[in-house]
Amino acid sequence: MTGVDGLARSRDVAAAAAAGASRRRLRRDARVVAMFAGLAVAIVIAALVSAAIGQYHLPLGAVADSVLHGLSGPLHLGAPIPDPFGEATLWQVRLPRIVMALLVGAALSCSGALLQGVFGNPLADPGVIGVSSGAALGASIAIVTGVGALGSFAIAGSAFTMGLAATVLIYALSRGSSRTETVTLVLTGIAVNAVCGAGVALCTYLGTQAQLDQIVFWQLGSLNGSQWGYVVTMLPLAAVGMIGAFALSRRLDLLALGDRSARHLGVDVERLRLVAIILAAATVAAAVAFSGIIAFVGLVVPHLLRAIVGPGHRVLLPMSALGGALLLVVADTVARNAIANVDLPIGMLTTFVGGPFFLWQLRRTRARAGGWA
Amino acid sequence: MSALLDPAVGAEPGTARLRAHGLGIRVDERWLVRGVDLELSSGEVLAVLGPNGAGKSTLLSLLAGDLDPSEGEVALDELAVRRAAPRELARRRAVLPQQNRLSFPFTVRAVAEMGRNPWAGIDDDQDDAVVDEAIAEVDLQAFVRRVFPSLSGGEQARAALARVLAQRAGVLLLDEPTAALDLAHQEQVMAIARTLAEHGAAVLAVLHDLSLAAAWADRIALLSRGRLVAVGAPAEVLDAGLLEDVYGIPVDVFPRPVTGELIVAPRRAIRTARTVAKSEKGS
Repeated sequence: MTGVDGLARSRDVAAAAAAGASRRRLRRDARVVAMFAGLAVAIVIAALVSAAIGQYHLPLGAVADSVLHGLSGPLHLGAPIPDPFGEATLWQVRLPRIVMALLVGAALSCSGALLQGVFGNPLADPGVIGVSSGAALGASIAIVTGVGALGSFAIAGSAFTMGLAATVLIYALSRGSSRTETVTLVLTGIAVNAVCGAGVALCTYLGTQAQLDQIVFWQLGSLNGSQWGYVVTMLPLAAVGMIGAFALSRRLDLLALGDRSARHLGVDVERLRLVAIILAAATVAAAVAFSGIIAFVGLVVPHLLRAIVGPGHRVLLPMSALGGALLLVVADTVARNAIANVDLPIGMLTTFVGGPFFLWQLRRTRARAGGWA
Repeated sequence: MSALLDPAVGAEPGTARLRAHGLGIRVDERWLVRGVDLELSSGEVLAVLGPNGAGKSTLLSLLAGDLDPSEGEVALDELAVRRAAPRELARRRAVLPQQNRLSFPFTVRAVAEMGRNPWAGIDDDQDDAVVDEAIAEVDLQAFVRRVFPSLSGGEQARAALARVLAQRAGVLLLDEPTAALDLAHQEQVMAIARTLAEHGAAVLAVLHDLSLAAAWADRIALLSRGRLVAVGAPAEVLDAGLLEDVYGIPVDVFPRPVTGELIVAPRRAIRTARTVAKSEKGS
């Protein structure tokens, strides 16, 4: 491709390639839009069905009418459920819980994708790298010391701080001179998880029976007892975390090239990592503070979606948020209804599904890369 | 190559873009690079040569601003590379690393698009044309939808080069751009470097193949044990005696018939003796 002929040829070829590329991009964009729309519709349907079924059954049509009535405000669309007990069940028990499931699922899954991008490692997730257990330790300490009795903000604040501290600790410990080693990352995460677990154990030992119950509940993970107050507390943290994550997405893509090349492309890598870590810790800590440890959502959802839509964070992050919301609202519906009169811990359910998935991922990575390093 | 060249690249030929002065770096009391004075000007291809461990990649890292020099400094135009904003630097110089890793399976096109990041928000409608041209330049049009990890080493190296070209910077630092490439693609990459230089880019390439450097570079910088032992035109630097000193192996330097460019080949004592014996037996 030397000389003038070569350059002219490459220009023609480039023009043809450009036309092909824009056609392909249109097709790909259409598929992505269809997936977004599909997920959104699935979430609405799953949420309505989840609101209808339970110990006290509500007709799906009545639920839809009542929700429409509640959301339309002064427009007065739809109608409340005629049965006041049903209306109260829907609005005071089920809907806050469903909204929390959506928020927590979106937060965990989105920050899982965010952390995987930050660490340049597809196996990173809020649970594996300890931010969940750090946040749980923070919450446990708040409960045992009585600070938690001051209100949900005290617990969320304590969980937030400890979740952030655990992540930063793992980040600092697992970083070599220029890149984060996978093995070191995973092992450091295990170590910090273990220490946080011991801290939680100490809290249960020191706490009263009521405090112990509260801590144990946490670790199992449950959305039982969700109130609108939780939603109001969680929403701003999750919103800031997720919107902030979306804003970083183009630069996150570049981190896949490694720190050095990302810097050569104009990314202030250290600042990006720090901001991303704070955002992830904020969303996860907020989620964990109210729902307990709901493991593997942050790992499974981004993985599945990356295989479908590719690794570009501009699509992957919002898609993960929607996918996580859908997964958790479905999982919570199962947790409430799988066994009559029993509310299964949702963290247990997601781990039952996520654990085998993680193992499968491990084996696949090993087969492909010949090892973990 | 039009979209790849203007307007970012166009500096007057001969303008010094990258200047290193008294550059040195010490790790654990050992100087990896020391006392390097070097200027890279627009319009030239400068090849950095030297044996393994001579400090070529370290020098490139210092010039790129990845490492903090223990002494001396590097300036890109009026910017001090260790203090300037990454984005400001990225609009002026691109770096092709020796190893091209990628944590997630991005497509070739997505990798090339990453080169546009320093220009986000400026002429975004040009991005597609620049990226397409960069991909065409390295002959990867058929690979745009393939994911990077599925490519061969040579294809990965070319995809990485497409990313560097898409960055459209006036200063290019290439660390062994030909290492993973076959003969034809080595020539192609050097021809691209040459063309960019003719359009006003300043290109520095770390190379191992002395004859390749002789054929394509305007100037050669020879490194030995962290020090610059010679800088100049290929004919000045590629001296048999000097190369033997630096590489520790006797070499022959001879002009190629017709074109006259220099070819450097090691003198192979054992092989020669065997050839001589064989020809004597035959006669």
